[in-house]
Amino acid sequence: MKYIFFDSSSIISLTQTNMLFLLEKLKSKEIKFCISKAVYDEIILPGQENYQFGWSSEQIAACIESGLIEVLELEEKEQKDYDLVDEQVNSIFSTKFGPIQILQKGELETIILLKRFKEKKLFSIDELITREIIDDPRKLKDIVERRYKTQLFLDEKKLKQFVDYVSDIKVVRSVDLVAYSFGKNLFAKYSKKSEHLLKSLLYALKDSGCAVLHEEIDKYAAEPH
Amino acid sequence: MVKLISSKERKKTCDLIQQQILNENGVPLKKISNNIASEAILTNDKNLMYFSYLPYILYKILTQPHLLHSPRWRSNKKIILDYVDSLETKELTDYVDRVMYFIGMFKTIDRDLYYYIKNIFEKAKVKKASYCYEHGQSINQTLSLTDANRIELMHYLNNSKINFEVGKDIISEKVAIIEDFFK
Repeated sequence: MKYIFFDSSSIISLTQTNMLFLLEKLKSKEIKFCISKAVYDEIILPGQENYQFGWSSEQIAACIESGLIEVLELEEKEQKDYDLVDEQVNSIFSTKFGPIQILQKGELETIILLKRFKEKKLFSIDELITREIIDDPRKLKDIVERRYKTQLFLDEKKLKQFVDYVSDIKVVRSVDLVAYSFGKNLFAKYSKKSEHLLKSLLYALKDSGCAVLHEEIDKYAAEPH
Repeated sequence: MVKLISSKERKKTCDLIQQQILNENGVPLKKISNNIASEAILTNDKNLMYFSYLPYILYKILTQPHLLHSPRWRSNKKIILDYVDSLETKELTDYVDRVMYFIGMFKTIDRDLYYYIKNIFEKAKVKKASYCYEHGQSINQTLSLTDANRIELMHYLNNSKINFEVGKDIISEKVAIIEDFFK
């Protein structure tokens, strides 16, 4: 079995751009799409209170109802890991006033759930900060340091522990999944002008909040994979 | 930095805000708002973050000639000054409620101003959330600190500076990961 976990940003981007149907096409007997309970709470509950989220929440809820997306909860023994990683990652950076909280329940729960599985697994994240803290935390430190009006401290030991902990977690974005799907002809019915279509799809995701550069979209369009 | 936890410093800030309202000079309020937001980020304090919305809203009001030229402006100005004055004596832990009270206060007094403030309040939350995000906090963390609307924030962040600064071409790496996964 292989697993793709989504954080809220990524599943919302796919929903808002009408691309949730891809999950149906990409799903196979050996691929499962999952979200954590906290991510479920982040995307479904606001939809019950806020019209702006309502339609997106309904669509995601239908995917859960049909079994296309599975909601997973932490087991009791995983709660200890959660607390440990929470403490670790949320004190990697600090100022003289105390540690800086970077990740919250949704992202943390997903990281712990991903660790549950030894098989191939992906974490689909569209927002930059969570992706960078897993992919390249040092670069993130250099950038954010300039923004704090006080000195930013990096706890090397905790950073190393966290980097080691997440080393087997591969991060992708909705644009990467869509570009791959495009290469597999999953959008074939829409248009023959393929470069234009691919760019349109990727820009739609960018406009929905996926952190992707214009250059990357151009590159994907020039060499579809 | 990090002074506003003390009531003395909050009083100073309120006095500064009142001064700008009296002079009808909105521009310095933007900076005051950013300074308060910076402290809110450092201390992870939602009440302070809400406090930062107030000078931002007032900055927007004071830069809108149609609001300043409205026949109601004189009485609105007095109401706002009294409100800021009352804030000086409030506990920091009440600021979320106090700012919400400010938003609702004009509902029955000046409907136009009420809707304007309501819109600007939503905008302020997204602006400050983006400010938090640029300080290296995840979207969820910024949402919890600011109460911004997730979808509006995601749209807004699309063109935020940090996406261009930190962003790099990671396509080759991501393509290899995905192809290996679906193999």
